[in-house]
Amino acid sequence: MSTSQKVLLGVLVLITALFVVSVGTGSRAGQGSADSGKGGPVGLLHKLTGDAGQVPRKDVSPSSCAMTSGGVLTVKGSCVLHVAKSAGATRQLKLKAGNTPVTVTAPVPRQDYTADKQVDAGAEVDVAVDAKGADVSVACRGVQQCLVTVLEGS
Amino acid sequence: MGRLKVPFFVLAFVAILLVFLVEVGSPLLLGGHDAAGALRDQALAVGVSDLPPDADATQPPGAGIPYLALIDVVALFTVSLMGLGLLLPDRLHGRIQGVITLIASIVLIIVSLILLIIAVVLLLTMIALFFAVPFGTIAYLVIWGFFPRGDAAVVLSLLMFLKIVFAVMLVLAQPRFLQNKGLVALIITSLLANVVLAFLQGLVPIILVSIVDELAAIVFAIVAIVWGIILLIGSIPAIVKAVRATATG
Repeated sequence: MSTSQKVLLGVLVLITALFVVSVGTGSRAGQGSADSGKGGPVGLLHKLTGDAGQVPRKDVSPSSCAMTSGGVLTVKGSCVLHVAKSAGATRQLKLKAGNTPVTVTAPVPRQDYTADKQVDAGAEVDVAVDAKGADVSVACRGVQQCLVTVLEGS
Repeated sequence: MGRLKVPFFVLAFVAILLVFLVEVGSPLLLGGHDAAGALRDQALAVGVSDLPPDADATQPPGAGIPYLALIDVVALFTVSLMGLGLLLPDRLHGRIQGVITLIASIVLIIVSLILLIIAVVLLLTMIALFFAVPFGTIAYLVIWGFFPRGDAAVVLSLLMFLKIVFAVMLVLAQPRFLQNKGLVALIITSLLANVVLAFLQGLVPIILVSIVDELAAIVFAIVAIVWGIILLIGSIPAIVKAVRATATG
């Protein structure tokens, strides 16, 4: 066996060993959760690519509640926010609850059903909206009237 | 060194053909299993407790393994071209080799470029949805959240075995193939791509595997474009030679 053949055989053995180690250690990473993306390679990718674009306030038209120029909604019981269609990809509607907790109901992007999120007083929530637009419902919890702010996007 | 040992060469060809077929057909082998239970657990973890009863999730097939085919098709093409040399007269083979390589390389570059763009768009969508907690995260989980890592590892192991068989059979068919630096580099690239994919799929928790798998697909598409350019450049001298031979003969 020539020297080049020996070198190539060594490379082949090394690559095979690396493969066995890679497959063997794979199961240690577990199932994970939504917090798993905060660090590691996916967190790094997120830093590089950034969040989805934010829905600008002008694309949000509330029905049955009034919105001030500052984006503050006075919700009496509940209110539906219609988010307009967009040409691009998924966008985020950022909402902030006032001094009372609210329930936000929104369609799950690319699915034909909705999901609810209980938002604490003063907390923010991101609602992912795909290119088709969406009707996002906001309901006061425990009180008849509450305030919700549509945070401004670019 | 001697002549080419045809039976070993045929075995090498069959091995790389199987590699290509398994990679292209892997979306039919992987994924599709129900993951609705896992979806409900993850939905609860992000504060969504009332998913409707028909909310369903299935395991995705992933993109990394099919994209490996973009690299391995170069090896399949190279070996096919060598095999054509056994069937056709030397004169004819020499004349058509350059043209076939030129066309194949252009097709490879265009296909890889289109698939690269698709993979980049998909990766950006995945990241945007995953980090838009909770509604986007749910959408991500439904479509991509439950990657069949174990099944993918089985397919990758089969591919690794076939690729090693391919390399060994090729050397047994003609030890002088080892002097062909391009062929050796191509085989090492293919094997390393397998290792990189296995490593990335094992690096992160299951719900994030689809993202790193898509990232690997992007890398493979770029590697395929580089190999396409190498083939394209390599075909030019053969075409010039064939044109000269036609003009003088």
